[in-house]
Amino acid sequence: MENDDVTAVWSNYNARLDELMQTSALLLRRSSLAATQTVLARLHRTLWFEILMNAIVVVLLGAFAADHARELSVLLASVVLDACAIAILASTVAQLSVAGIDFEEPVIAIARKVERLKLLRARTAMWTLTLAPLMWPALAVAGLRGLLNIEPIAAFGLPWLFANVAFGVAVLVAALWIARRYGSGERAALWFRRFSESISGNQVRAASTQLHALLQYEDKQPNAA
Amino acid sequence: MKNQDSFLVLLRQNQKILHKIAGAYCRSAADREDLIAEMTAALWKSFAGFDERRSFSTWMYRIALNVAISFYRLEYRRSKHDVRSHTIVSQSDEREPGPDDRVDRLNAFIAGLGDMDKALMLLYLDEHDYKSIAAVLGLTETNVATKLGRLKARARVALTADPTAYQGDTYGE
Repeated sequence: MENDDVTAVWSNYNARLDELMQTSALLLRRSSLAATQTVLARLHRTLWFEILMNAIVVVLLGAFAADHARELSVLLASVVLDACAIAILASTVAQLSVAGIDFEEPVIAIARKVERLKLLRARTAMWTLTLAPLMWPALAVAGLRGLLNIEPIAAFGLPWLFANVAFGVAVLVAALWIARRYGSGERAALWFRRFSESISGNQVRAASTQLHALLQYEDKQPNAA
Repeated sequence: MKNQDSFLVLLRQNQKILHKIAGAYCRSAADREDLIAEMTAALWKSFAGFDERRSFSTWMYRIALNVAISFYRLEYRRSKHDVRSHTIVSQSDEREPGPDDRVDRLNAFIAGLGDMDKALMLLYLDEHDYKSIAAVLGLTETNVATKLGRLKARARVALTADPTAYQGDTYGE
C-alpha cells in the first residue's frame, strides 16, 4: 500500500497518541477485565428478564381465561390480552435469537445483525405502545372481574364498554399528537423523545433506512456509483 | 498460554487501536472511556478463541470495531451525542488546538464518515492490506480497493478544505 500524504498525517496522529496515552487515565488493568459487562451482555440480561416476565403473564392470563371459560366477556377479554402477551413473548424470543452475536464475525455481518435486532425491537415497541391504549377495555373487564369480582358488562351494560373503547382511542390519538408535536423538541427529556420516536414509527423508519443503507453498502459493486 | 498477563501485554502494545476507534466513533471523553471499557471487556472475553498464528492487531480491530458499532447502535447514544461535524482528534476534551491542523482535519473527516467507511479508513491508515481489510469487514478485496480509492481521494481534499462537507450516510457514502 503506497504511503501518501493522508497516511503521513496519520503518522503524526500516532505520535500525538503516544503522548496522550502516557498521561491517559485509561490504564489497562487486570481488575478492569472482569468488571465491565458488554452492551450485548446487558441486552441479553434484559431480554431474558422480559421473556421470564412475559411467560408468567401468558401463563397467568391463560389460567384466568380457563377459570372464566363460561363468562363470554371475561373469556374474550383475557384471550385478547393473552394473545398480545404471546405476541410480545414471541418477539422477545426472536430478539434473543438475533442477539446471539459473535464479535469475531466480519464487521458487516455483525452490523447487519445489530440493525435487524434494532428493527425488531423498534417494531415491538411501536406495536406495544400503539395497542396498549386499545387494550384498555379488555384490561378493565379482566381486572374488574379478577380483583373486584365484578363482571362489568353485565353490571354497567354495553355503554360502559363503548365509553372505555372511546377512552382508549382518545388516549392513543392524544399520545400520537403529543409525540409528534413535542417529541422532537430540543428540551424534551430523553425518555419522552424515545417514547415519541417509538410510537410515531420514526424509530422503525430509521432502523429500516439504516438496514437498507447497510445492505446497499455491502452489495455495491465496484463499478457502481 | 493464554492468561490475563499475556493478554494485558498484548493489549498495552496495541492500545492505540482502542483510542483510535474510540476517537473515531465517540465525541465526548465520557463516551470514549465507556467504549474503551466495552472493547477491553469484549476482547478479553474473546481472547480464548484468538489464534496466536494470526495478527493480534487485525483480530483486535475486528472485535473492537464490532463492539464500537453495536455499542452505539444498540444504546442509541447518538441521540444524545451527534458525532458528525465534530473534530474528534483530541483524546481529551480540553486539548488546545495543535500546530498541525491537518491531523484535526483528517480526524474530522473520519468522524463525518459512515460507520463502515470509518472502519475502512482506520484499517487502511493503520496499514492493513486489502486482503485483511476485506476479511475484517466482510467485503471483497475489489470492493475494498474501490471504496478506499474514493475515500482516499475525499480525504486528500478534506485535508485542505472544510471537513464537514464530507459527511457520509450512516454506514457509507
